Amino acid sequence: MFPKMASFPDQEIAENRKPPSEAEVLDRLRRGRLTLSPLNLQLQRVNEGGASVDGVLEVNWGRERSTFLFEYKNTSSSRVLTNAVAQIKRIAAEPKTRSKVNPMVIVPFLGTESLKFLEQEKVSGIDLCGNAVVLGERFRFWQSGGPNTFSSSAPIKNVYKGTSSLFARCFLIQPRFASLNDLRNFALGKSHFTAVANQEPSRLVKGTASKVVKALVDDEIVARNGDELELINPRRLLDYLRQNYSYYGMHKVDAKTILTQEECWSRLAKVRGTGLKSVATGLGSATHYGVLSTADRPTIFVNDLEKTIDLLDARPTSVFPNLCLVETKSDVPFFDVRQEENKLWASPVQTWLELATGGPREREAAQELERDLIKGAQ
Amino acid sequence: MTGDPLMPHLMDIVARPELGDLILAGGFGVRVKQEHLVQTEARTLISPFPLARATNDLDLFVRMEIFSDSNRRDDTRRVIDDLGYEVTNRNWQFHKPLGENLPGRKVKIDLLSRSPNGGESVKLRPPRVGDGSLHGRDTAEAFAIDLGPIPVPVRGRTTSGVEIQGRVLVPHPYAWLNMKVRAAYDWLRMDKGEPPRKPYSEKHAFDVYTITAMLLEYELEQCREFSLAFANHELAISIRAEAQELFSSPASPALRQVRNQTGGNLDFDAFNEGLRQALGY
Repeated sequence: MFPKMASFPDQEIAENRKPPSEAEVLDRLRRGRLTLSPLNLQLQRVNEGGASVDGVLEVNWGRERSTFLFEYKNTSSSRVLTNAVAQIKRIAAEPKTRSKVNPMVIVPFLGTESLKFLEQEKVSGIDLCGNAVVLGERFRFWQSGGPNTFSSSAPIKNVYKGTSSLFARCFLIQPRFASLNDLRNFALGKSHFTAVANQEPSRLVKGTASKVVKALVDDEIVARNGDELELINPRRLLDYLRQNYSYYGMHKVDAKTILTQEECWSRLAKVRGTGLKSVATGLGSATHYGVLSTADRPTIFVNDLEKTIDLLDARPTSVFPNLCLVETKSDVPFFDVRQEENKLWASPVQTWLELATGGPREREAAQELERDLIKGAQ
Repeated sequence: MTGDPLMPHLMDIVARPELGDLILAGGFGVRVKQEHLVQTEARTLISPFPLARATNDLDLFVRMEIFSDSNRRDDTRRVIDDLGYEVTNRNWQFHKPLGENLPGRKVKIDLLSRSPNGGESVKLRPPRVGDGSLHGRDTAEAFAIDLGPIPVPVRGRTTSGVEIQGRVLVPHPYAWLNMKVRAAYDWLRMDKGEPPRKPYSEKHAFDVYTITAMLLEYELEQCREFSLAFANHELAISIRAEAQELFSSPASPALRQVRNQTGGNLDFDAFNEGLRQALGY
């Protein structure tokens, strides 16, 4: 059963913008104030005093019942979620617990991507906004769509990294925006090509745009004149983006396919908009921008390696590979992509970043693109 | 290499018999040879070899007999002019637009030459070799460039869209390794605190590894023969010593640089043995 609409499980929490502490969440579970209709959540045990997990929760759905070892984190970031998943999986797999309980994490908010991630990791997750994926022994429950009521007012630690950097990148495509809304709409427009049909990229919210702009103004990269925003130091912006760019966390696989390059791109184009994302990497796009001659094989960012390998009739191999796939869960490489028939090329900024953080020939080639980016931003 | 914007410019050169004896070195030479090795699934010393990348330069060695024959020299220059290249450095560096759809990008030709030997009547005014309409940048470490350049079959469209097949010469690995070891050694000197000669020259250490990794069995055998022929050559002796200093230890700065550029993948044993046999030390 997959209910479409979210319910607000805990009005007490939903009205409170600050994520509750571990003690508060445990208290609400104890008092039955954390609900997830039609599931029934019952706190079985609380582990006191710095134990490696917070407790045991029983989830009932009709006559079905499953027990979960759970861990609560009061932050919903992907890094925290990834660490929590690793922690709870490790503990749930220990011999003394493996046969009795399933792993679960509880966080303030779970967006669709986080729910998918949890499902893929075979870990259940519940948030405090009505979203959940619960993988019981004999049932499977999915609920999404509940808005995040815990939008943090804390400044973003690094606006030049990850999804928030997309707002900064916008200024290298168009140096002036009439307002914050204008900037946000521009960013959304540049994300639509590889987005899932009818789904807005969840993290490009106005609150993030506002925090990014504030940081850019503080760093004297952008000037604010009334509502209007203008890039005033493109070179510094490029420097900060470069210093914070990293390939870290991406999974690269060399593979061989019987398909031609055109057939690969054609198959990828057919599934565009269904959730399987693909775009040439920046290094793979350098030839398209005429700055570097690179190996004659597609090098492609994808968000699901396994599905892409199936789609392209490929098999991983290091012996005479003719395809390179780089899996990433980040939205960043799929921003501002450029289309050429069935092919999608990385944005000039993404291409520049990969070149500028690469080897000596790549850095040499990056200079040409850098000149273009600075010229275009003036 | 069909989508590579540099390829039509190479095919323009391949299409002109007057330029058939030029030898394509540099990053694009490595790229062209690599594509051939991949297509023919050739058995190389190290497999897979690291993938080479090239900026928009065509580094072309001019053979000594072209400089010494004024007709061939002028024909070579005339064809370069015919192809629409403009001089950027008198008679040895040229450029032209890379393509209509790539505004602002240029393809560059750098002409190079080994130093003339005592008996050859070709003018040497460092850094220039040759005179009249055609010069080459003097490259002393290219002393073996004329030995057995490797013909690589190529196929593609010229800038005017004509599909052709032909062959391009790339340096024999023995000659190439001597040039690249010397260039990498220049970088090492810079690494030791001496003033930099050219930016990005750490790429040459990667190229030494890549060219060695791409060695075919028969090429390695020829390298051994060439290294014997140059056993007492002063520059070859220096370069052998430089290779030892640069690459004999897996922890050397040069190999650290290679590791950085290959993402950590490095078959040290095969590389060390291959380079040692190829250069004869």
